[in-house]
Amino acid sequence: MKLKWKIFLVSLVFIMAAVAVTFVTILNVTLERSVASDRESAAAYNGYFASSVSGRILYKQVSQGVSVLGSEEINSALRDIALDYESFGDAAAVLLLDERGKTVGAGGNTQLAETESLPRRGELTDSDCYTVICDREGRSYLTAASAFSIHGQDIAIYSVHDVTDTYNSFKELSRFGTAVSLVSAITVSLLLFVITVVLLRPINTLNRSLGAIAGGNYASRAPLSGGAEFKEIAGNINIMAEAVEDNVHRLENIAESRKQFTDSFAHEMKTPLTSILCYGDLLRIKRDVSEAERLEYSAVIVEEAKRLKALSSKLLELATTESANLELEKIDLSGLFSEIESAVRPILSARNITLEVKGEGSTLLGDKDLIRSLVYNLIDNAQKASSEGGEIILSQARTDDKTLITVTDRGIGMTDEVLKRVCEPFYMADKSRSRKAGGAGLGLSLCAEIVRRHGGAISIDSTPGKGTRVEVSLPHTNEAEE
Amino acid sequence: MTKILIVEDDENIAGTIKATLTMVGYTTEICYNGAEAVEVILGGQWDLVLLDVMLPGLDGFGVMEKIRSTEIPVIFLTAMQNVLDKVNGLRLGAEDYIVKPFEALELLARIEVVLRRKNKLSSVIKYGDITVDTEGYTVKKGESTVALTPKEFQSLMLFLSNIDVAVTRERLLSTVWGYDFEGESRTVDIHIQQLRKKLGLHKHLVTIPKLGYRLNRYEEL
Repeated sequence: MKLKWKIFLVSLVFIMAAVAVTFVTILNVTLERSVASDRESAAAYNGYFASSVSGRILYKQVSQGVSVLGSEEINSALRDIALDYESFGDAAAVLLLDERGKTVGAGGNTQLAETESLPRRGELTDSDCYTVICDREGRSYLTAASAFSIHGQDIAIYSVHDVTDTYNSFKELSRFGTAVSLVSAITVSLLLFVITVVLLRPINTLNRSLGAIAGGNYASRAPLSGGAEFKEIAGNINIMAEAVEDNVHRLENIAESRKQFTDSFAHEMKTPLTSILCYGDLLRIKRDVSEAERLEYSAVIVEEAKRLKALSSKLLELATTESANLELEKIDLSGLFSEIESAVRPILSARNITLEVKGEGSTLLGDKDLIRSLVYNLIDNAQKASSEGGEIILSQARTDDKTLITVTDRGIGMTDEVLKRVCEPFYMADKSRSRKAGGAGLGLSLCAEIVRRHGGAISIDSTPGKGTRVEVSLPHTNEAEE
Repeated sequence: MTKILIVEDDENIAGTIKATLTMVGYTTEICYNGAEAVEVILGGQWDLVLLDVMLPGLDGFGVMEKIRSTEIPVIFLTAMQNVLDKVNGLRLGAEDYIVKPFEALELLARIEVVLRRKNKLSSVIKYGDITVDTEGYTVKKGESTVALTPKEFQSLMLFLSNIDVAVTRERLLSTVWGYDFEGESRTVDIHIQQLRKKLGLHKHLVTIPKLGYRLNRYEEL
């Protein structure tokens, strides 16, 4: 159930309860007072009746000139007075009983007197007046009982008064009051409802904003409107949306580069495979294969297979570098450099390229195999970029907190355009030249990954036609990344 | 003489395509980039262009747009399996596509389908005293007409397009029976027997052990 309905119903119930309680209380108090008033007037009637009886008896005494009337006289006086009950006030009936409960006077419809529930003469004292109210035939009657004495006789007087009107007006008041309270309760609740709706309107706005974001529109933001609390909530929603948007973009970028990597990889695999498959197939199905054809086809098959081999091993290296545990040791660069020099000498001398090794005394905390691979790949790149008779310089240096390894060549160089992308996997500046040299475009991405694992940095300067300088700086303390 | 232009930047792939096409008698030339290809196509008479999608500079799609007016049939070559490339190419008017890597006869089969569709193949093929009318779907040995089932006819066509080239059972099955055929290659063998019998090709349509069959170039035997 919506909040505004909850508020409306709850407030309606509470207001109605409050109004009802108030109203009922007031009504009851009013009724109490009315009944009390009726009781008082009944008691007054009884008192008046009693004193009238005394007066009448006294008068008879005086008129007869006696000091005491006989009981016969008293009884007849009582009878007469009872019959004359209406002259003492508003009563429906009067019943006079002596000590023994015998009726000594009655007036009006004495059936109405509810004597059963009232005390007998023996229990009544002169100052009491007991009352009881009961309903007979659709009307309410108050019976008041009190006592008086006449010449030694104790008489109980029970007067009956019609108090229906009190109750009727009570009922009318009740009806009227109920209507008024209902109306006011509903009016107030409606007002409350309207105010609530207005105050809560910002919730709908927020809800819509949240819905938009949840639905995938991560760029949408909640408007800062409404009361202070709502502005705060909206602000926080926006912060959250920002974070979600950033994460989504980050993940999209990651997914995109993964896809690109896979696409490039597939392409690099399929290209040599095409020649291998097709030439191999031709060798198989052709009836006559000339010597020239045999040599040509098989040469390409072998060349392309070697290329695939280089590609798959480089790829494996790249993959394992990303996930491998580094085995850190203190590496003496001079030693490492001379190892590498011996390894590359055959390739370099075949093309008349000289390697100059400079610097000494630097050490480095790193994984020896990876660092060796790093330097080897840089030299390999330099060699591929250089023409016959070229020159490569491999140097080491150190600053306060870094060890620097630099590889410089005077080869073909790269433009700024190329430089931007040169560490991307499979990127080759000149595809045909690279492929001829057996490359797959993975060397520098491998170097970049090794440098990253060691917490270092790689920077490349190059001028087309003049050469390239690659500088790798690695921390020589424990800052290498695990 | 059917002239086919190969547009492919990888030298080795270009070479292998050329070798394949030459084997069955097409005349070929190679262009290594898109711009050059456009010039060559517009400036010559070509029956078909094999066009690589990934070219340096102007890519395959760019080339196709520029040569649209010539209405030369184009089959494009792609290493990527992605649907977008294929749809793009076919929308631009290519007849078909081939995914690398491919077998020699796969390439030839697709080329043949396109050429036949465009009526670039001669409608009558002769082999010794056998004459095949590819439009009328009739075969004659000497003067008399020979009745061949549709599969036998297609098999014969495949052999005639690949003289001196071994056709594997797999290639026969996929070309003549379609890729979904679940049957054994015994079906193929039986068909070949029938073909030999009906056309007297026992000495020319030879079995290559472990490989398949080959129709040798015609010699009086």
